[in-house]
Amino acid sequence: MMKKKTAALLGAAMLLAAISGCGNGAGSSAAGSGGSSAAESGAGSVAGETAGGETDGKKIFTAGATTGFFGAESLDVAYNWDGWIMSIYGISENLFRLDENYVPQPWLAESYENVDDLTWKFQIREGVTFSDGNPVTAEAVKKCFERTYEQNERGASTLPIKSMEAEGQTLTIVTEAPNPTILNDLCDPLMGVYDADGEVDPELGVSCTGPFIATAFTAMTEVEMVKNENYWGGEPKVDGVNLKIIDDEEALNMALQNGEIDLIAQLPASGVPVFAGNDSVTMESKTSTRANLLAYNMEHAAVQDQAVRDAIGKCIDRDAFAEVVYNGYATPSYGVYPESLPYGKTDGMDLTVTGYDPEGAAKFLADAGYQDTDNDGILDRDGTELEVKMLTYSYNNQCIQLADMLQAELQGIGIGVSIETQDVLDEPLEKGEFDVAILNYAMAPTGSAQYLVSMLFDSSSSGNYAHYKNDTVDELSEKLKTTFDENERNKIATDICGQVLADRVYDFVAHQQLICVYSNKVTGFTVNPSEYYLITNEIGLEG
Amino acid sequence: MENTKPASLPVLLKSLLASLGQALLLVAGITFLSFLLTYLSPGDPAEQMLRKGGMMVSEEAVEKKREELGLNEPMLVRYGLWVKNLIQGNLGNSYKSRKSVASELASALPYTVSLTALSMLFVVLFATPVGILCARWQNGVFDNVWRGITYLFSSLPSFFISLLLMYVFALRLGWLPVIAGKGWKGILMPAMALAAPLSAWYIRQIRAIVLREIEKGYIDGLRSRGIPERTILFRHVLKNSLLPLVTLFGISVGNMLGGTTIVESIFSWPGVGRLAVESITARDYPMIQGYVVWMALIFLAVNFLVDASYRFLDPRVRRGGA
Repeated sequence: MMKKKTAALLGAAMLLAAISGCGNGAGSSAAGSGGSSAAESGAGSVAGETAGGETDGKKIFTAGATTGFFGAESLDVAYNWDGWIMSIYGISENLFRLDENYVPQPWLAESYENVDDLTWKFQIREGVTFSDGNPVTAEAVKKCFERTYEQNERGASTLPIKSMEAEGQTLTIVTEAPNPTILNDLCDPLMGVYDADGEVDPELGVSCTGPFIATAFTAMTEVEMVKNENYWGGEPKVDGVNLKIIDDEEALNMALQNGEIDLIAQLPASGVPVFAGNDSVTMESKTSTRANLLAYNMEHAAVQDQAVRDAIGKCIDRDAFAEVVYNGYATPSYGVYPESLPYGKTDGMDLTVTGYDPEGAAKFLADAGYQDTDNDGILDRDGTELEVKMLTYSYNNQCIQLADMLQAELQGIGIGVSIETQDVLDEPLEKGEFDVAILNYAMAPTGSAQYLVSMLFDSSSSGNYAHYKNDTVDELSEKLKTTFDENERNKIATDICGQVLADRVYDFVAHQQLICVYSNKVTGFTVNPSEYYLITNEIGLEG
Repeated sequence: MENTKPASLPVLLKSLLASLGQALLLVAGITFLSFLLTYLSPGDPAEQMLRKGGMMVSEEAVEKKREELGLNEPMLVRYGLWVKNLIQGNLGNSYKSRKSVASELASALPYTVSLTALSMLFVVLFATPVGILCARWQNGVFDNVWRGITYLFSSLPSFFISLLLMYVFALRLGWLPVIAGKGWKGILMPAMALAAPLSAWYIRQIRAIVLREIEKGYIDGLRSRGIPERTILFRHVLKNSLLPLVTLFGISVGNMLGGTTIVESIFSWPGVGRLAVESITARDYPMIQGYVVWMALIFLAVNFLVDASYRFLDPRVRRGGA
């Protein structure tokens, strides 16, 4: 009898542990967060229930995305890349914001004055308060930037500042060197404005100015927010927003189909067919500056010959790649930047690769003296077989598919290809353990051409893994850094692109589109091509 | 006659101390090995943290981060420091979140423990009677049908079972949510997804164990005395089959407490499995080490409990024999 009782008690204890453990675990974030009662009653109760409805009379908007888009470790703008995610969440805002054409527009700054090459005066918007009630003054912005620079290694390189002065609503920034892209740099979410004087909550982070305020946060899992009643840009149209990380793409799609979320942010292209023809949702996309590209290692003999690089470039079926791999949600590229950017056009350039042409590629190689002398299916020249090693990410399906496509194409014209995938590419790239690297980069995240030029094309750059060196490009890069006139800057950037495309050290294959799919109940939502913004005060729910 | 006496206290104490010594050696060995493996594996935590989603950063920033994290120290110095902190009860701070490793594990554990408990409860409640009845009606219709079902569920990968459950219970029937969330409903599908393949395996194991037991002579004796078949099966046979079952149970619980990455990921269930994978991806060395310590402790504890249960369930062990 005792044994039976023990067994029964054990069983009951396990069941109790299962249910109470679940509750404790999930509840710990809310309990530890010190969130307001409004949020706990409103947002908390909708979890696991249908989204987009009214809960206790409150309209709660719910969205889902994968860790890559929504995953924050903290709600502190200064920590790592969390400022970026907080900007997406609609919690933090910057002095400037990128518009649909990647042009910086005043946001928390009302206006600016470029006093001289080094000095900039920013007029901070009057009447804006942080969510803790403190006013946003020039002094507050100065303290915020100072804290960010102290806490984040990227601060100094994002916008090198020599000194700052604050007087009333006027913030004066003196840069270390002439910086014509300061407005773009101020759009980087790392430069998000928060109250550095206020206490940093261990769970809810810093107080910002955005349309929503976090009330519960579980790192890399979810965030619950209520509307900022005092939002300077107009009252948000929903009472709260819940954002959830759902890493499994199928589960993410089903969550929207099941009505548990109202929107999927950055829908993976593989999910497009799931919603195609579904009348209850809307799918919207904009071309981002994120691209798939090939970088050739100029220190390796196999690809030093431009004929080989040209042949590889002609074997890339960019249209098929965009159409099949991205389900049409990518734009094939024969230039460098997307054409939507003022320096992204290729008009007037003498391009070697303008389309998919494997026969042309084979001819290039034959003209360059490559022949299959030993009849093994692989071309050779001077006793050396023409083989290349491709390196790409193990987790990026699109890059892997591009590598697979290319392997088949190149073997068809006699180039042997081996593919290596790794989850961290930094080390093999630095060590030069590749002939061709297939990469996925954000090319102009703040709208400035300088970013990519400094990182990939400048011969002194640490990110120039291709070991590309062109003295004209280096000169133009230096000129770009000090040129303030916008038209002149665009011309320089275009000239750099012309040089890069002529040298053919990189092949830019396709520009990815940022796709969002949302329930037809959602109103006021627009996709911004920049990945910095998603939740705004304009988002509403019908009914 | 001596081996039927219960073991004396000094003998027990000696055995306990020996076990403790072995356990400490084991933990030291495992943690050193994992430290060495993470050190040898490609990837730098500083770069992983600073390079997000195709964004590039300067080498100076990476070097500054590397210095801050103490990654420029030799591997043995880092391991020594980690052991010193561990002895003081400090598992260090996560590189990624800056929070203490212990608190990160503590916040993920309730999810994993609750999921393990409910899944194992499903398994025990379901697989035990089905396994016994399959043995009882060996090669009959019931047994054959369950053979097919168990083969199917043993072969299906857990992600497929999870998606199938989601499709049926969330999308088609609308009974359960896709996102696990906070309500009690949320845990049911991940628990079922874990319990389904495990139950299939347990049914086969229980059936085999019970079949071996049924063939023993004492069963004929019980039957000849007119004891009902149900009593024979669920009292005598089950009781005598418990020993191998407890061992299986221990291994399963140990594995599940280590987290179930795929199911946790599909159902957005923030348990230790998901935490471990995120930490490995980010090369978050302190977090990986913390996870390794947790796993070592689980298996030591489970082994200890299984051994202890033998003493409880089998009088021969209790008396120092067998």
